[in-house]
Amino acid sequence: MAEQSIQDPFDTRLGGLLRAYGDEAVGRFEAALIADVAITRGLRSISILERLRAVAPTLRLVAVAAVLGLALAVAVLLVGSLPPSDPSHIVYVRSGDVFVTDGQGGHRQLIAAGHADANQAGYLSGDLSPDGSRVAAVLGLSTRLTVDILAVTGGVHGTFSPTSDGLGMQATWSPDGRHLAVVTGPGRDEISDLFVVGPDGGLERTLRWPEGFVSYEPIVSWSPDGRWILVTGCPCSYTSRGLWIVSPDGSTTRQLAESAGAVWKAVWSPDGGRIAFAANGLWLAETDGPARHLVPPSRTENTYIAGLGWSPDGRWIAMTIGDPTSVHETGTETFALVVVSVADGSMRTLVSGTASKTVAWDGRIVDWHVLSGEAMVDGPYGDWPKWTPDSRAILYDSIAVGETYPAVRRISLDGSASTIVIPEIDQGFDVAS
Amino acid sequence: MERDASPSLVDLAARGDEAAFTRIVATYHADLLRIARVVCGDIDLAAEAAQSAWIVAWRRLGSLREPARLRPWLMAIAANEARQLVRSDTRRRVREIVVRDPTTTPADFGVAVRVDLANALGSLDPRDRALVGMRYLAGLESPEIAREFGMTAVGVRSRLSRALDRLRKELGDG
Repeated sequence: MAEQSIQDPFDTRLGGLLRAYGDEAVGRFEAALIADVAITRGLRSISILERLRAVAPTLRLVAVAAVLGLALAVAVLLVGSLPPSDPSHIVYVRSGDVFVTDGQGGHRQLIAAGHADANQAGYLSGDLSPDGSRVAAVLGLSTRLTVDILAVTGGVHGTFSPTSDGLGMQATWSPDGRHLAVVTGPGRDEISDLFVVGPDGGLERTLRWPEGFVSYEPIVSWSPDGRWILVTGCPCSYTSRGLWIVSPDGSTTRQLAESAGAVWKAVWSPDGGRIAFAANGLWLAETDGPARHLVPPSRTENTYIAGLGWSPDGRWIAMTIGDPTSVHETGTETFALVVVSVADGSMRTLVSGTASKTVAWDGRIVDWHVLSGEAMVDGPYGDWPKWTPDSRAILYDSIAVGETYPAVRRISLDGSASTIVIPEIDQGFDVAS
Repeated sequence: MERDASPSLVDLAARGDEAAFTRIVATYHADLLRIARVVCGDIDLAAEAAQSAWIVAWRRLGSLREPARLRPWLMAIAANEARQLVRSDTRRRVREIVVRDPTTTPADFGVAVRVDLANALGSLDPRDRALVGMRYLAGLESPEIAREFGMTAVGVRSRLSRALDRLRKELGDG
């Protein structure tokens, strides 16, 4: 696609400054293009490291097994003392702090302050346990990410601090609320890790991956029947994101729908038998069978599926979609919240909107505002529509005309009765049903 | 000027030909140092990141499906290595300012400008610095950057927009 010719003197200046800044490193190490020699010598030593790595997993397994027994015993004791369930909570993050409300957005309570500042991001997301008593909240510290297990009444039950140094992290509760699956982005070793963690943050198990598994902007989700953990990622290059399921005990790892292309978003059916995923259209995959298009690309042409939510009654899939075709162009973007019938793939638009965008020659947006209706927010924690327990309404986050921050809204399945449930969140929220 | 190693050179290196890999190193090492410097700010750390990136590249070269995309692929690896080093080394942030021999410094890149740029970059998240580096040093557009980092084009676009707005303000162009 041809770049636009909006000239910006700042871009030219910044490009020159960055090159000069980078050249300082080149200047110092120019002589070290001896690096050729040093590096290639170093490469030979890798083969020795490879042999060591072959031994290390065995040692790790022994250590993990020892810790596992203790962690399981502790977890069993603690799970038995979990507070009684209190359904219909909503959790969300605002300015790095975690808040909980009742199902109608009332009785807002700050349950954990993330102390976000220039050096740390604070809390990034919160995942409610199925009984609504605990929140697994990813906390961005200055140098690493951790998962805090928070009580919805306030207080920290425990913290999971993975030994890996991966970028990006997602945590999801098992259906019985007794475990968490935590996936990290690639760390120093360029691989992602998947952990099973107890309800107070104790490591229970590190699941094994295909060689070199990488999960950028990771998605992890525990199947409603508890049999599988879904995760997106790839064992090869950065670009081919696949759909994988892993048994919680680590005994089985399976890639689904290999031919579907890069998988961006995925969600379980309520019975745990199928997965809906976005990859060049909307697909349905069986956990032990083939995948098929529910909505083929011809009907989602020029759209980007940003989030998915499967209704508890199994009949509908809600999608938030955007329009990536005008990514490089000054003009108008379109957004929509769409409901798809699982039975026949028919679609109905519940909410739509447009945003005005001015794009510089390098693809940078220099102005963006909502023109009409509502626009959805893209991001790892945004755009995931949720259903009410009776499958009659959808909760979603969006920005409407005149608003500065996204709000959590509720809309009926027939598109009526749209209301704001929680104003001004960062992006993303979770519900306990 | 785009410099891409020929696919045959990449193929040879992927099959373990050290001479071929050394030629690739000679061609792209400076690019890796530049983007690593922008991401981590520290020159020594940048060199360490570049070295680490070559080791990663050596092991993963066989997974490079499009040899013509070698340069952005390598630069993305270096950017990621630099990000990891920044995260693991809190003592050396992007604030390091090196006063260098003025005869080797571009005329329009004095100490004051370098301080401003280092501080401006330091106000960004390491990932955003990587995105900025991929845009201005690798010369990639948002969809290409998204491809290298496993992000969405929309995500890259919005993060770049915020990062550049921040740099514009910090550098007094806002």
